[in-house]
Amino acid sequence: MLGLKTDWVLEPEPRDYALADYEGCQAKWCPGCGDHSVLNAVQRLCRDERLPPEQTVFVSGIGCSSRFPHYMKTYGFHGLHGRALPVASGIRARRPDLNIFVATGDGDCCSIGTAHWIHALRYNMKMVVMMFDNNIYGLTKKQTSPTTRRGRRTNTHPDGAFLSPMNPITVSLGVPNASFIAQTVDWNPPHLYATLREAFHHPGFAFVRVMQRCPHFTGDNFELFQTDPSKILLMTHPDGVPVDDALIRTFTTRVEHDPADRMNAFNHAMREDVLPIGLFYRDEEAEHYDSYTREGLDTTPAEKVEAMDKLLDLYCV
Amino acid sequence: MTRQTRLPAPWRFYLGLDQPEPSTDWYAEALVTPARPEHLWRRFPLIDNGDGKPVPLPRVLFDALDKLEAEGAPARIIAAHRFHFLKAAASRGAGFQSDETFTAFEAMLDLSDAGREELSHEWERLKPFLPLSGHLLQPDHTLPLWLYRESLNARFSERRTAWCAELKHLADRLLDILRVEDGKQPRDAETLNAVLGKPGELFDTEAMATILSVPKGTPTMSAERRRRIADTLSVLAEFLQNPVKDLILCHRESLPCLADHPMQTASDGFQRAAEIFSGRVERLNRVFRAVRAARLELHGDYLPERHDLLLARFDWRDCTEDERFQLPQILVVERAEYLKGEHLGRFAALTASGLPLRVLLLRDAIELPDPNLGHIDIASVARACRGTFVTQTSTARPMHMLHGWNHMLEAIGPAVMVAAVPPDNCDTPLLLLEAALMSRATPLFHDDPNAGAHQAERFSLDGNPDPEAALAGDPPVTPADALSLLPRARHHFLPVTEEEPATAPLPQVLSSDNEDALPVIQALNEDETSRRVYIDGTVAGWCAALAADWRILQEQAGIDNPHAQRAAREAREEAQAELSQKEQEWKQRLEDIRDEAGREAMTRLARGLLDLEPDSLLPAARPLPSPTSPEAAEEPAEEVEPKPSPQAEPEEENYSEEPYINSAMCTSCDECTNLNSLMFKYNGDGQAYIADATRGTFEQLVSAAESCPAHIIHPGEPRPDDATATPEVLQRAAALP
Repeated sequence: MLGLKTDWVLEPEPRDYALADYEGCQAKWCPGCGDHSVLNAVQRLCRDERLPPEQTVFVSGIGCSSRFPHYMKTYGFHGLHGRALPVASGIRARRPDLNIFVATGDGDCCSIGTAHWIHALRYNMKMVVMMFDNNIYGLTKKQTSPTTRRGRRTNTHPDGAFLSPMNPITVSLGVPNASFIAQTVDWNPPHLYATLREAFHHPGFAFVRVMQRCPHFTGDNFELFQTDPSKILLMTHPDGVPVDDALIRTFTTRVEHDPADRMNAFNHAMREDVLPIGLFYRDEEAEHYDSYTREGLDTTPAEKVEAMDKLLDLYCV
Repeated sequence: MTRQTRLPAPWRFYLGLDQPEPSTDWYAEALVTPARPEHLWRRFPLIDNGDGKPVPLPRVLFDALDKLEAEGAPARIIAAHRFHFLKAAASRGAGFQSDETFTAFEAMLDLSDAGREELSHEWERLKPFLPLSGHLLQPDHTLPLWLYRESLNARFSERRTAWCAELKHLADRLLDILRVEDGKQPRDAETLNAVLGKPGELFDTEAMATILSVPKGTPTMSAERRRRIADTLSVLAEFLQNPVKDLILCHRESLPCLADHPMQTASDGFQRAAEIFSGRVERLNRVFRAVRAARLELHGDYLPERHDLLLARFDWRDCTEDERFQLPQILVVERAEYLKGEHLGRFAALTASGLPLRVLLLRDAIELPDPNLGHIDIASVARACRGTFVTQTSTARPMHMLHGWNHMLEAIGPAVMVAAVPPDNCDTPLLLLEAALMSRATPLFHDDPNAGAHQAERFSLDGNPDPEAALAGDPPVTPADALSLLPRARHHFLPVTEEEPATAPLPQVLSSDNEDALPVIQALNEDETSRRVYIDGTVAGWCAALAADWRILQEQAGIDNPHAQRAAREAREEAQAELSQKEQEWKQRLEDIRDEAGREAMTRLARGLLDLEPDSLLPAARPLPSPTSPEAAEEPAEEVEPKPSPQAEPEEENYSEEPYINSAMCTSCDECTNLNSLMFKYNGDGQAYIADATRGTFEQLVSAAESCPAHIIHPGEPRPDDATATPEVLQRAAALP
């Protein structure tokens, strides 16, 4: 069978997997790139959650991070620039049995794909969306992206970007029916893994912004947060991202934030003195558009033809 | 001992008076607490605005007064005389809806001109907060039927209207099909004349009719289908013109009536109800079938060979949730004391019929058992048929009654409500109803067979005052206290004289604390001096029977259940025994440990004093070797010394000398593995660790630590034979974070 290992065709027991079962091509990201960390966390998540590779799909747009599907030994779709989310929504609509992950970047998601991003948040179809935010267009060699900080010199703005950067978290929080909004950093793998795991178990559209280092073009971008842990604000709550006590102690700046409190989430997301990480907002009762799109999935082609004929017969005179 | 045949009436309760007006020389002392006006007069009369939720009139007024006060414009005069205001509103049966209430209220007060003007302003301010329309309800025998209609309207009207609209929609679409079909008929000259006007000079309609005979290729409807659609249409149209109606059957014309609800008088209501229901539901069955046939026809799915038989077998028992609300609600209203002889048999037959018929039995809140029939609990007779919904309620608790109606009207099978009402010509209806409730003469309950398979799920005593006690109130109110309010029952009571033998309060006698004493209840004279009153054997037996009934109800509701108590007692004893055994075991173990510790202390003391080898003295006291420091076991004697353990320091030094990676924080970025894939490797989680530090140089370790984006590589100290550990590299290593 296409796409299946021969020894998987008949298997009465649930399978156990190793990391190698999810390792695709050799990752071609720069050494030191934060994308490696996310790739490793996702592979571990797939292994720990026992996701069958043939029932898992990674969808991406264009960008450094969008090479993600190539490095996973699962199904994948390396799509058009900014169009990862429509493709993923389509997959979810007619193949709700698949585990869907989306890898997109700050340029892919927040610039050319913004309209799709906003409406995908509103549709709230179950998938995990990892937005790799390195504040730069890396694949096209250092151009200003929507999240590039003001004053940073790039190839498109040699004298420094002169617009304030977009805040994807506050934008997401403002979208009606958004149901899961979290932020994490690539250089803290335990927190990254815990956040992605929480996102995977969320029943709807889980949007995770991963602050990701680009050592080549924006090497100093997150240096302050790496060298001074007090600049990172860890949001904790029993309903938030579950982090063990040992890890919590490494963060000296912490705040208790209830993910049901949307207004407080705005307040935290707007802060510029610290980098908040954790779960901003979660609403498991939000409506799911895929609960409508999956209707009639078990209809056979013959039944469809028959139904269409019957419908047309109503107009026969 | 002379029996007193008539005793004066107890004090009267009037709505709107601050103080009760005693018009008697004695009354039952136990009723002082429940009869306290503020407990009762806030509940009635109810005002019903037609929304299915009647609320007490006093609460409406007080809420309105509170709102005015909150707005900073209090109605001081009305608030000060609110009881008179309520009396004016209630006595005319019109609530607040007319200025007549205000005029009557004003007449009660002796106000100056300025006061009247101020009162008028207050009335204008208050009016917007009061319901200007509504019907006043008293706790009499009309209340159950009023609430029945409210519940029926609230739960059924909207659904029935929606269903009729759906039927009309179906009928219209069937008509459309027939119209289209009519258009396919051959167009003769007459038809064309009708369309084109009179035969003219330009058109030869006959010739045209031959050309336009039948459109080629158009399928026409079979005659059988056309007849079927026409039949379906006629059934739907007939129902829409004349829908199936509800009905109330009363035995006597003197029973309460609802002006706008169809009612019939029937001497055999229980039997007639089943007949009427069968007749009306048969018509409804045809409608249900027609609805299904219409839906199939609209989609062209009707297959005679399959659906004819299916529809012929269809009846109301197979209907949907929406259609169940279209079934006619037939209610039989009867006085409970009428259920004797053959009527009791017909009543039992109705409850066993399984038909969704409703029965309302009105019973006096307080009544002594019939000397010929004995103590029959009519609610228990209804509960004998397990599929019947039974509720016993009281007009003193209208919300409980409304709740009962809501459940009854949605019950799939028969449903019976036994409603306690005040006796005719009762001067103190609320007081009597409340006393009946507290004394358990008319306990409230619901027995819903659809709530679950177990008694605990289907039976509920919710709504009773203090349901866990034998009698409610402090002091407890007994049925005899309640009975003493009825003038016609006064001959059952007799004042106690000084020479009488030992007596005991009735609650004590009922709880079997003092069975030998004569039961008495306490009464007060007009001047509030206490007085004891005997009760006769009839009343005492009745009270005991009611107490036994209440105990059974408590047991069924899961309160004071002997089975559960026995099980709990056994479980407690078992747990206690297990606890005792554990205590013994632990005590023994503690003793053993003490002995062992004592021996070990003595051994060590002896070893310290004599400087002997421990092995030769007591091998059993030898400490276990530590897995991290195997050499520690070889010098156990030094542990006696209070100085710090000598092996701790070298272990810590060794730890800091070795290079290591905090693998959990590794970002798998390939920096280190690209540098030296023999020294740095990935573990099972894909995170780096130092596999073999001897496969690389100290300089590589330092370079890897410098390039590691997560800053988690610690190069440690260089090996002595490592030539790359130059001063420059050592300096770089020292600068690492």
